[in-house]
Amino acid sequence: MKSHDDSLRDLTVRYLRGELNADELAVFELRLRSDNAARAEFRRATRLDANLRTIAAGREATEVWETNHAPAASGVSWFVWLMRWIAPVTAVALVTTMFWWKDSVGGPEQSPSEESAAGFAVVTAQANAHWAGGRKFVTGDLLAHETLRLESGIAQIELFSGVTVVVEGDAEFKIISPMEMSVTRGKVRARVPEPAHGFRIHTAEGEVVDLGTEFALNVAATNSEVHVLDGEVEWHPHGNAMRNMKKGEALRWETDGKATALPANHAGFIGMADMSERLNTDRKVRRDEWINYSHKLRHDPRLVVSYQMGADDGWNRRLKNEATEKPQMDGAIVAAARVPDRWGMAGAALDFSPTGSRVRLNVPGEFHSITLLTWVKINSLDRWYNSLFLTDGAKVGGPHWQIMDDGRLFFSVKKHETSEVKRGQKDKYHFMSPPIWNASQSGQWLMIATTYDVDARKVTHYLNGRVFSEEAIPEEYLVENVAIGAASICNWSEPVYRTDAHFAVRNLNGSMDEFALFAAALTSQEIADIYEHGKP
Amino acid sequence: MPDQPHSDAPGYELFVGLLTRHEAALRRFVRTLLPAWGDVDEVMQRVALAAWKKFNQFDPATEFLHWALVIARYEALAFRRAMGRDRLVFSEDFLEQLAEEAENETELASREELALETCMAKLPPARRELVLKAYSIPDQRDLAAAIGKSPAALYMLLSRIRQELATCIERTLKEEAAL
Repeated sequence: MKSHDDSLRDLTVRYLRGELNADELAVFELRLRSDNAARAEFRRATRLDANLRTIAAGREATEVWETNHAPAASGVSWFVWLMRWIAPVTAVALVTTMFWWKDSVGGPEQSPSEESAAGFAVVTAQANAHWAGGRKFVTGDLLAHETLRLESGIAQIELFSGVTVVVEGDAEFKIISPMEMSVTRGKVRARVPEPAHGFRIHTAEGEVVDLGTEFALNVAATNSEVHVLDGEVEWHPHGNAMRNMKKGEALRWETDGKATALPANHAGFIGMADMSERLNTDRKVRRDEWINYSHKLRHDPRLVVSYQMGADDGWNRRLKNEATEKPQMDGAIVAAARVPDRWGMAGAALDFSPTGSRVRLNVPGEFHSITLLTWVKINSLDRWYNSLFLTDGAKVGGPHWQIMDDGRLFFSVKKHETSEVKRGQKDKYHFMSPPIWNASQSGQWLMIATTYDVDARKVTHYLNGRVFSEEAIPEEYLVENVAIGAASICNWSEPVYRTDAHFAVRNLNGSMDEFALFAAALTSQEIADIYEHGKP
Repeated sequence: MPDQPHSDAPGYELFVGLLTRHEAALRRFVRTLLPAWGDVDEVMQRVALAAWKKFNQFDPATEFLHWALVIARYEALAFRRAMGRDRLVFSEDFLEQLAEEAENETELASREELALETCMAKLPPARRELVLKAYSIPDQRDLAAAIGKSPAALYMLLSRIRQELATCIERTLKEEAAL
């Protein structure tokens, strides 16, 4: 899931472009109302937006003025602006400026093609969930206006209004907006925080409007049951008077209109606490399975570096190399903070979003083919280059592995000294995949791998265990001996550009819980196996 | 237009001088309250006209910006009310809250404006030009086409530059505070 800050920033940017729809605007306002810091940040963004326009307009007007009336007096641009509404008729000389202005103030900049993640809700957890039609969701997936059928298992969904629902299969439902959903079948339990009061669920028999805080629904073929677990709801049966229901009350409503009062049944619906307990057990089992499998991997003689970012002691900034054949090459953690790993285990991953974050390591020797493999969770690609693993500087033989701002995976091994590059030649070849990432994958854990296969002369990029793209290594750019030396994970150390903010900031805005370097190109089968055993 | 100001009216020069000096601050304030630039420009015009009409009530011993902000707040909210429900804007009481907070931040805002100039100067020339262009052309999609990028890529790039500028401004203000 996107971090709090990121989603607010996103909302602000889209608000300033006039792109928010009514629901999003309502949610945005709610969040700003309840959060002083967010509001201060919002005002800061609007001020910057206005200041940029002032500067841009000032310069533009000055330019027009200067071409017509050189030399220009200082501060004249403001006067030009003023003239446009105070004394338009006399400002004959400024006709061009005014026309320009007239055009420029047309309205909010629309951007229908803007890439934006679409949805009203996000899947936050699942236990043995099976969706109809073979649909698969992972944590962090967005749900939009679509009828979904959960055949079995449990899913927890957070709506952007702050409402959390737990759905038990077999169930059929639809998220209509951040404040509204419909249920045609099955059990749903909803917890509604204060800013989302008024949240409603439609059923065939009527609709429930929440007045706070927790209620559950069981929709069957011939009746609907409403249970108020906490707080108060309104039950609006179709064609009948509204009923106010309080904590502890429940009502069964038959399709023929017959109503029966019942005591509310807490135990009949899985709540958030039960869900989290189940998930923890579930996750722990899967994590243990992976740890078992990775113990075997550690003995693989091809493994050079293997970091599992979880430490037994949270304060230790040293990252132990788990490759048993290579006891040295420990990493040093810089700035990165400890966060939950892909199974939700606290402190078992590193968050590289604080500026300057990286893991420093030194890998001596030379390699023929190599494989780089990692599990990452990307918040956003907000740099031109978003680092995964880069040798320091730009040394011949050094690999650079990163993600471009548009989501393409980038791999290169430097072939020539930059000073010796001939005309029409490059110092290295860029092996770029098509985009592997877009904003809708924000917050999802992904396994990314790239193999540099010198013998087969090809570079292969993998996403989640599958070949994503493949490219032959052009003869003139083949590097037979890959040399790494001093390197950084999730950042780049480049002395030359250290003073240049544009190049210096390359840390990945995201988390990593595992990194491995092999001195060989693993086969696609091996990479698929690692993914199958390691997926959360 | 009897109320239209003209250059030989008494106080005109003083008024123009004051409005010129505080125009950026007023625009920042209005921008905080309205999401569409077209509306901001419209309200700015109304503020200027209303301020001129009431200029004889302005006491030169008091602060012009403070006086003009009251007008701007009134005009922005009136504009919002007139737009009614067919435009997407924040609710009125929330706008009141924002306006109140923004009124107390004018000093910070003008320091930010100065810092932005410094930060713009630090940007690589190509990126600086890009931002200036983006903020001065009516439709950013035209700019995207002109530089051979998709609108989405341009927006991403712009939002990154804005973020860089925001960080730079924050740092500059901190450094100033530390002096």
